[in-house]
Amino acid sequence: MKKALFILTALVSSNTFAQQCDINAAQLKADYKIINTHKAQQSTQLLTLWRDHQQVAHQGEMITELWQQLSNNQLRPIRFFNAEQRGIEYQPSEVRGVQNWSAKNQLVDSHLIEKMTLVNTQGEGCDQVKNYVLTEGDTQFKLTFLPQSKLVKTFRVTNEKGQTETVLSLNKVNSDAQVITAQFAKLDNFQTTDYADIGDNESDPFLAKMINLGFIEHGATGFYNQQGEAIQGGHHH
Amino acid sequence: MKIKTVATAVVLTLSFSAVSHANVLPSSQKDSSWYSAAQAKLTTKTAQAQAVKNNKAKNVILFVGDGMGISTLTAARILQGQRNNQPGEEGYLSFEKFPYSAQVKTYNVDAQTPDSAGTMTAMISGVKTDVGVIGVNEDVERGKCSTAIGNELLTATELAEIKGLATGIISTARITHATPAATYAKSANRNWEDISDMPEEAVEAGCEDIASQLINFEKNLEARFLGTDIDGLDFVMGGGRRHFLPKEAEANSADAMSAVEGDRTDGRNLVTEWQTHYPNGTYVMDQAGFDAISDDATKVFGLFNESHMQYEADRANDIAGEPSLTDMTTKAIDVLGKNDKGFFLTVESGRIDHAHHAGNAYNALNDTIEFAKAVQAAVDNTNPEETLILVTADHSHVFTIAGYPKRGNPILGKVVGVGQTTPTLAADNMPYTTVGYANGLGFRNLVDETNADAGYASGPVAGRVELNGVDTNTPGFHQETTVPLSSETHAGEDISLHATGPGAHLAQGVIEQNVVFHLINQALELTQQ
Repeated sequence: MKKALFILTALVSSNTFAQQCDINAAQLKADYKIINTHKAQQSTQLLTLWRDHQQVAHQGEMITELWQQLSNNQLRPIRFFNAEQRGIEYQPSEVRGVQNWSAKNQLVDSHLIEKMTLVNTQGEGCDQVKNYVLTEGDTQFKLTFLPQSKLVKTFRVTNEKGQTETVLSLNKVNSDAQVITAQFAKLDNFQTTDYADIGDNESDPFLAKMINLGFIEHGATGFYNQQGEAIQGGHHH
Repeated sequence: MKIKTVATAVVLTLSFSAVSHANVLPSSQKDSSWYSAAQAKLTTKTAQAQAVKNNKAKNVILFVGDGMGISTLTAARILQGQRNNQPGEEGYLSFEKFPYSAQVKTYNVDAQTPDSAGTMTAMISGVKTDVGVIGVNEDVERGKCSTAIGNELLTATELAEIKGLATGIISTARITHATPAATYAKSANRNWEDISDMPEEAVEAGCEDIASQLINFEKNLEARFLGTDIDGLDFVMGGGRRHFLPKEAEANSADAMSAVEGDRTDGRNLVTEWQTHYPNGTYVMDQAGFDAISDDATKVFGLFNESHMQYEADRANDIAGEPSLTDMTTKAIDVLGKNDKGFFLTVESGRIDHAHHAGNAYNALNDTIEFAKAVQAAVDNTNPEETLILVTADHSHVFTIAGYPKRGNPILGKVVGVGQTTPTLAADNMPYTTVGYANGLGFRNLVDETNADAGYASGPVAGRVELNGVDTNTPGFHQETTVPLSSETHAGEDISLHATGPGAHLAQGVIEQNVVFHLINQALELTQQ
């Protein structure tokens, strides 16, 4: 009897342990691979998602885009140029449909997840995943989401008519607070310029170069639609 | 006898000439209100020309509308009138009623189309210089600290301080931005607003960042002129808190938007340094603080925003509230006016320029109208016999008023021709707006967005856009453009100078921009100390 009780306790304990997840969703680094396919052409990009509480950054090869959630809930976008160690600060904005914290913080807009159908929930703890699907017109969305860390595990957007597909897949998660803090401190030390001041600084060689590289909502990640908005399907609110 | 006869003949001839001139006009002409109003204006001008001119002023106020070119004045005056339910074209902005004006050439020594740093240096020191440098002459090499040394220029603000006048600077931009900075700083690069903006070699070579120069204004000027004892700037208000605070969350202001508001990497808190140096001074950072400035204050420092202050249309959205340009101007005159010797005040509306750069005419014109109110407040609160008021711009923008709209057509609207009620269509069968830009980001329809800078969130859209169904009068509408650029540019054409008060009659003709300093100097006798 005693032995049976011990086994039962151990099982319960093990089960409790399995349900816990010690990843701090507010402070982490997540490495992704993005594969874009159009007809027979395929391209691959790497993207690192960095979170540090009220800041989130998308690091690409040349550019890192960072959004700061301000005390008035507006988002301030800053575009950093990795090699040049310079940055452009954009105006905090409440423009609807463009500045969406969840789309930046978890790569998929919460409004889109709310619209999707939950197929099932699998696994436990950090490994628990929720599988969602949605079809809107010719576009199909298929999402596997890690609710504990609020990370996309895989996200597939397919348009059969347009013969396009974008697949985002998670490679690795790092929750070492020191690594995260160091990365944001590094970006913070880059010299930044207000966008409003660019018009007065066109003789600056860096700014002249930046102008040719495009704009923040076009995204370094490629994970935006042609309007420069995060992929979310349907109407934007 | 002979002389008397001739004189009488001349008088008679002139009298006859005037009478006969009036008589030859048909009543359809001489009874016209346009005709009589213009004749009355000429009579006023004649009286002005014959009046005894006083060249010396007790006070001078220099107003600068950053980027406020002639087309901006025209469009703003029309918008002002239309907001008062008038056609608009017939009205005047407050300073356009001033008796004297001049046309001003704005080019920098090394640039056909100038920037604010070079132009304001010219206006405030009397010497034209290069693009991008502040308070130093053309021998400087931009960004090279060592070349600034020995090439510094003395400004009207500094000379007024030495003379014992009260001095003030106001801007809706960062107070360390090029235009206000040119009144008090010397810098080989306009962007050295705080120490974190400077290259290491510039710091090591002894160059001081612009924010630090503002706080050390008294000390630096006394060191430059040994034996001089001044009391420092008396009224400073604007944006740009980040350049004065250390990069530490503990130094954040109560209404900070960012997790860490300050940018300074040297650990200095220039606000507390100022407070220590001027223990009887008043530091304010929001509307409540502004409203609480005591009546007997003689030394005031206000920093209302981390970066630039808000556009006038967006001011209500500021977290802790901030005063308008009119409020700040009125308060400055109140504070500075306590000095019996007089005062010299510079007032900049810095965001007209920013709205134009963003391709958003609404905010450029709206801030121009607020600027005109601030000028009117100065007129209303000073003695016209002792205060010279100069109103000008630093440069223009590629902002145009085009097409053939009928009289009273909404200035921000689509062109509707004379006698028509529907928009005129272009050769592409689409309507077009009266105002537009020759270059820049182009079309955006952000509807009720009052912040012009929101337009920077997406790339340039050059060329024509279908405007049917689009309300182009809204704050968030950004006009179409021809040449796609990430930011609309300055223009190289002349701007205007408007003047009233002692010495104002010297503002006339086509002048170089650095003449503005000499008008101030003449009126206040700054260099005759």
